[in-house]
Amino acid sequence: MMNCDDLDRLLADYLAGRLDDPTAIALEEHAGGCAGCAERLEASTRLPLALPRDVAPPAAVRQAVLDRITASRSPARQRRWWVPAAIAATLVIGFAVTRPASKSAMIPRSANPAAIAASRADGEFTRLDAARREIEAALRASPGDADLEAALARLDAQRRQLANIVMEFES
Amino acid sequence: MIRRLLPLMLLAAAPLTAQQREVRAMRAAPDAAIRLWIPAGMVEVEGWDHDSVEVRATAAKGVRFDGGGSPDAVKFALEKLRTTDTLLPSAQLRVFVPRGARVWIKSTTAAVEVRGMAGELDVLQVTGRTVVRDAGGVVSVESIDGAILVARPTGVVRIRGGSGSARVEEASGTIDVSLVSGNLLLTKNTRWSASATEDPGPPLQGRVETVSGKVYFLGSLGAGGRLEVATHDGLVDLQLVGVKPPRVETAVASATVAPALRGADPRNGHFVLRSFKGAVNAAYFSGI
Amino acid sequence: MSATQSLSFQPPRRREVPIDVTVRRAQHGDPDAFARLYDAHAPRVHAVCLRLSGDPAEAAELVQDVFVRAWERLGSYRGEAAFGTWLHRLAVNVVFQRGRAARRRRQRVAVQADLSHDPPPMAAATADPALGMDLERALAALPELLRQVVVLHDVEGYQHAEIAELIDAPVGTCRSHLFRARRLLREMLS
Repeated sequence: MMNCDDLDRLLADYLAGRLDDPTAIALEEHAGGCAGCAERLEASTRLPLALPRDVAPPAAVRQAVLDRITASRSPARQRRWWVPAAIAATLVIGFAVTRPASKSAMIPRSANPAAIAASRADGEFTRLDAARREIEAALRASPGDADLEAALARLDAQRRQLANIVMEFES
Repeated sequence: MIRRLLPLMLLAAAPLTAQQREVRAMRAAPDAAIRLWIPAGMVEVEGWDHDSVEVRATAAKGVRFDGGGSPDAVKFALEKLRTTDTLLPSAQLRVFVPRGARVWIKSTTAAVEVRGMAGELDVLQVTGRTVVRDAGGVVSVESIDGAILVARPTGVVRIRGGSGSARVEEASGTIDVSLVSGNLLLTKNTRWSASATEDPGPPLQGRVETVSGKVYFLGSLGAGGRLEVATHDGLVDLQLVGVKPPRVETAVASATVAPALRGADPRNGHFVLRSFKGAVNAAYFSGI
Repeated sequence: MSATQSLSFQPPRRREVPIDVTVRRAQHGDPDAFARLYDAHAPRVHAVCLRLSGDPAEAAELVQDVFVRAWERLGSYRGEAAFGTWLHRLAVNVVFQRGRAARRRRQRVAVQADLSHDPPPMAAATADPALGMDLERALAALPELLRQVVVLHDVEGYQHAEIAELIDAPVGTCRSHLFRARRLLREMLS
């Protein structure tokens, strides 16, 4: 187990790249858990990482995105639950900075219903994306396969349904 | 007209300001549209044979309970007294509604329990659980990751969910279930030993789709029943019981289907199972 | 006002920025407006995806996912930060969610002992000797976790606490990853 004195003693060699791997790792692990050493190491190992801010994606990505969004529902709310004329228009429901009562670990701290809904749905969107990619790959192998086309349509419909639920909480 | 509106105005003007019980009642049409927005806590809704709505509420301090409308359209919502509150407004509600009402409930984390409705029910949930028993009309539950139980529905059941699990017990109408990673357990006619003599009731019809959620079925669809299941990679497991085997057809990569089910008469019940890469098991236990 | 009240924590009031007219149009479902947002922000989003994933093919897929997700979630954008910032956060979240899903898949299949022995995937794809490319190549050659930590911290300016949450590890581990990543980069670049 390395301590602060060890780090003091080894720092010059570490920075010069003269330590063997296990010793270097031990030093890094100590610094990770020790605020003082972490600060020293952080300052002395900083790299000039000047990288371009923008890197243009392949042109095909643009079309793929636009195809997918026109297939999906528009973000404008299509179902309006709160407009029946007969209802007294006196309610203002505000949820500026709310925290849910349970399962707070998964939920952003300044949660509101929209944020809770969106964060809860994220993993499911990821699953849908992954499944879609598999079906697309299978379709490339056997183009026009009716079962695969149907599976793709099902996944897109499921995605829209989930997005609709999330959007219901964004009002 | 004034007399009709009076209770509504009182209702709207009397918010709950402290932890206390409140009972409020108003007249409502037999098929009134009733909307409830309960972010947290619990709401129990029960259909009754009166043309009125009654709300019994216990709200937490700092929560305001607001509502109003006409006998045709009633709306209740919880709101925070101070916008700086960091909690979702929470309350315990018991709501009695005309059996044939059209009820819409929106909730973030609240538990929702509904009993004895024959009209339409629409539940929109993020993560709270939803339990619906003995509904006769149209039941629609949309939930991102809350658990859902629908027991003994006789009408149409529509479930849309993400990661929450769903259970539908003894449905005798039509079901339409779509989940992403949530699992589904369907049970129907599970008292199989008596199925030879007892009237099993109307069959189950419907379709189910999941992405990775597992689909379990236990029992039998009933004569004339049909269930289509489509999944990306979720397991489909059928434990079929009954005097006569139902037909099971599969379009899947890997299926273990009891031989008796492959060529069976589809009039005994008909399963059509599709899966991109999930496994299918179908076992059959005949009545003795 | 009582002492307790004056000491009570008040979250800092967020300054909201006016929502750009193109964003507003896209929020109302205008795909052309969304295409303009894509054109304005895709290079930035792509850069982030590319550096975090270290794989051009995966980065292209991630950019797609980020923008589809952005379209679905536009309604929740309220101008609490600049649109580019909002999109950037979304991109980082999408990358990490996908990473978690992939890790789960890998665990299920139980293959490959150590990712760090994979060949650097970007080395072949970027033959451009332009300035910065050595660094990009070196980044791509880092083990996934180390690459993500150093990119988030040193390139994107994230704090350790935020990174720790994303990679689901203690802050201390996150710091040691950063030091190790920097050391490996130094070795590769020298």
